[in-house]
Amino acid sequence: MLRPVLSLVVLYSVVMTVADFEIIYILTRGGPLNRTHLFATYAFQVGLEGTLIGRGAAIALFIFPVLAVASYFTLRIIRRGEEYA
Amino acid sequence: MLRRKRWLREAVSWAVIVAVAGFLLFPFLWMAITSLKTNRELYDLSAAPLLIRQGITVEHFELLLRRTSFLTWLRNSFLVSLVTTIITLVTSLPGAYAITRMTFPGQEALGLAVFLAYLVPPTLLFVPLAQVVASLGLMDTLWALILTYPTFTVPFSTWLLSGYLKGIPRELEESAMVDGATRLRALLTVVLPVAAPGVVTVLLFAFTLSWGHMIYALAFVSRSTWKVLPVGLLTELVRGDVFYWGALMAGALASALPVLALYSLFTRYFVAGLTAGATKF
Repeated sequence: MLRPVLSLVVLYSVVMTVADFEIIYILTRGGPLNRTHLFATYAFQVGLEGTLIGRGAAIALFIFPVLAVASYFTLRIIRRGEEYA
Repeated sequence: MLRRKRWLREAVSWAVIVAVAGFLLFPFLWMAITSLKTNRELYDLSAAPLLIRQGITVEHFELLLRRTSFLTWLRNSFLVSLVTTIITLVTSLPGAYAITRMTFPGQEALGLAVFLAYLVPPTLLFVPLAQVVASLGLMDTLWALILTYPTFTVPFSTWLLSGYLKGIPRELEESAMVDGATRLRALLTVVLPVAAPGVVTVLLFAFTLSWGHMIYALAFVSRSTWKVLPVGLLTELVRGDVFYWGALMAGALASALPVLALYSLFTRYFVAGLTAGATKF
């Protein structure tokens, strides 16, 4: 019964972490020698600070498959949970 | 025997509450203490972190107020957050009402699409949005922020409000419409008061999210007079690799205060709104 809510929380957390920008940018700006970059910070560095917008967009677009897979599985779990509700 | 068990259980729950509250409030304590310490004590490696031994100073607040554009950033943040919140409310309430109450083809798919729009994060969209904003000539203006912040506040607000509105029985507005009110009037006079907790939740959520948002602000605005608080504090109080810790903590504390004040004003509505909308998907 708790499964839909739990999976929603997990999905939200996964999405927010994969797409996190502020904390990493503030703490390390991508880190010494580019070691603590995530998609978002690297896309920011390449696309906006390095002015290669196309490449920055491509880097940011990599987040999309992760999101799509995560949301598909979560929505399936929620749908199945709604059959009982 | 029974009395001692109850005392023990209460003591344990109090210990957990105190521990969790301490964990959550610790950053504020740290910020407050750091912003009142002298620079000499901050850089002194032998000083205790949570004690002020060499005198309380207001020089960091002075630096913040006099030598940076802190008040300008505060004004910008307020402007952007208020307008974004208004736009969010005006957009998401009718949208949620339409998704839950009116019947039209593709209604359920639209609700799902709104939720999925929330799952696309700003960090994915900021690069193309930067191009759009630049081509519209809005770079370095507050309009860039005001027009792009609703992209992440409106989907979640619509989803939250539609979950909340589903829990309100249709009979309420149907009885108003039977008595001769138009749908719009029924929405404003009957549904809105009942949905007030959800609306307040949306208000708080939109304000907080746009107050603390950084990536669009960092990407679109670079002139100091048009920066918002988080961006201003980060880019101007961290010069190269010199961190003005005292002023940073003072600025962070000061920027947390308006949100805190807002929350304490609306706290009872907020709690009711969170739990009511969460169970319906």
